[in-house]
Amino acid sequence: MRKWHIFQISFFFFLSFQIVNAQQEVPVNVGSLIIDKNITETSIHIPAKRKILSLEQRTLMGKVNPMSYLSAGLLFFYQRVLSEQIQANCVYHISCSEYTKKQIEKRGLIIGILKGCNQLNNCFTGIMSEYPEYKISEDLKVINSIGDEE
Amino acid sequence: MRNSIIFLVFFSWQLSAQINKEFINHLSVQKLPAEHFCYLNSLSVSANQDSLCFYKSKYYLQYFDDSLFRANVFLCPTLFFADTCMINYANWRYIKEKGKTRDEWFGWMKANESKYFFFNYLNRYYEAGLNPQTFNSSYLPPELKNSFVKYRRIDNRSPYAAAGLSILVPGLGKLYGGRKRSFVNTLFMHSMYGFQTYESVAKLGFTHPYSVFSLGLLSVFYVANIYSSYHDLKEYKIMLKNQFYEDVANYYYPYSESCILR
Repeated sequence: MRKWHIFQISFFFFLSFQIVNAQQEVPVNVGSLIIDKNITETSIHIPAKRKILSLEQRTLMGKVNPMSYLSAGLLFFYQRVLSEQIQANCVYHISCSEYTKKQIEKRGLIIGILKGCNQLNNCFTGIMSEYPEYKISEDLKVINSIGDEE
Repeated sequence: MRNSIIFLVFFSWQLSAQINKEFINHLSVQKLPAEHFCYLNSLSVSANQDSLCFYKSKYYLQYFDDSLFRANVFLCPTLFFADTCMINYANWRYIKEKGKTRDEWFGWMKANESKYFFFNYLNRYYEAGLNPQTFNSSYLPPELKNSFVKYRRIDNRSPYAAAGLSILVPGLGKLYGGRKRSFVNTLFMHSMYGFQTYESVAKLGFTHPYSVFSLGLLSVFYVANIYSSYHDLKEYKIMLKNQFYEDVANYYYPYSESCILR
């Protein structure tokens, strides 16, 4: 077997491991759920309302740049169609696609994509141990913010 | 008769001017914010302004309102610095805050330290967070040592060096910044992208769309890794500092809570 076959197979296993990890949910104790919350309050999962990239506060160049619209359209398509289909469960509080979209809105296309790629690269369950305790929310997600850390 | 009327008028005026400390303590312990607020505002203007400001600042500290608390404290610094419990509680409350609010408060405390001659551990810990290299960690309680030592180790490191290391080996800057798992993941992903790109260029040629796409993807992730190594290390330092302050606040919580409610 050639070398690149080995790498392809290992890459496939790595990807499947990531997907399985992403789809794992935190086990919920049903008894405690009933006691803690009124059962009538529970409702079915409604996907979050998403909007296409807002370009209201951008400069004229930002508004006429076709790449902004292309990236916004691709992200919108991913969020509305693909993400719902694969039931993606991001380890970050603001999901990778939403984070990228907001970074593009705030910092422009180049920095936004770089920051989005970085979060995508770090989107695995083990990353949680590298964050300080106060950055982990109660539902075991990393609290990330769009602005700079203060 | 005339004297007794004058005495009664004077006495009733004095009654409205007095602050009932026991009643305020009761409202504070029972946690009745609406009643507490109404009582403080019902007090006459002729009441002792220093005391009134002091009790108002205590109220705004308990039901935390940063701007109103500071506005009242700045009017009665002598009473505030005489109350060690309140200094403790205020410091504890502000050390949990993030960014500019915390820095402004402790800056004001430091400016008044020599004037009012007080000592507080939380002020020392705040300064330890600002200059971790000069602070002697042997004075810290064991519960705070771990987070402080971790913060001090990372604080030395330069974000530019992290970016430079990431240029040499993808992810090495993250290892330098104290993130081992991130380093392993980044290196693995980049080697995968690299081999995929190499394979496509070797098999299909440099000008094939798939090769161009692979090369573009690799370049974006490579540049993102360099940028993020620089940016993440800066953010990581701030996060570790905040975690240290958070640990300090948790460590001192029981003492501070009992102080303000007395």
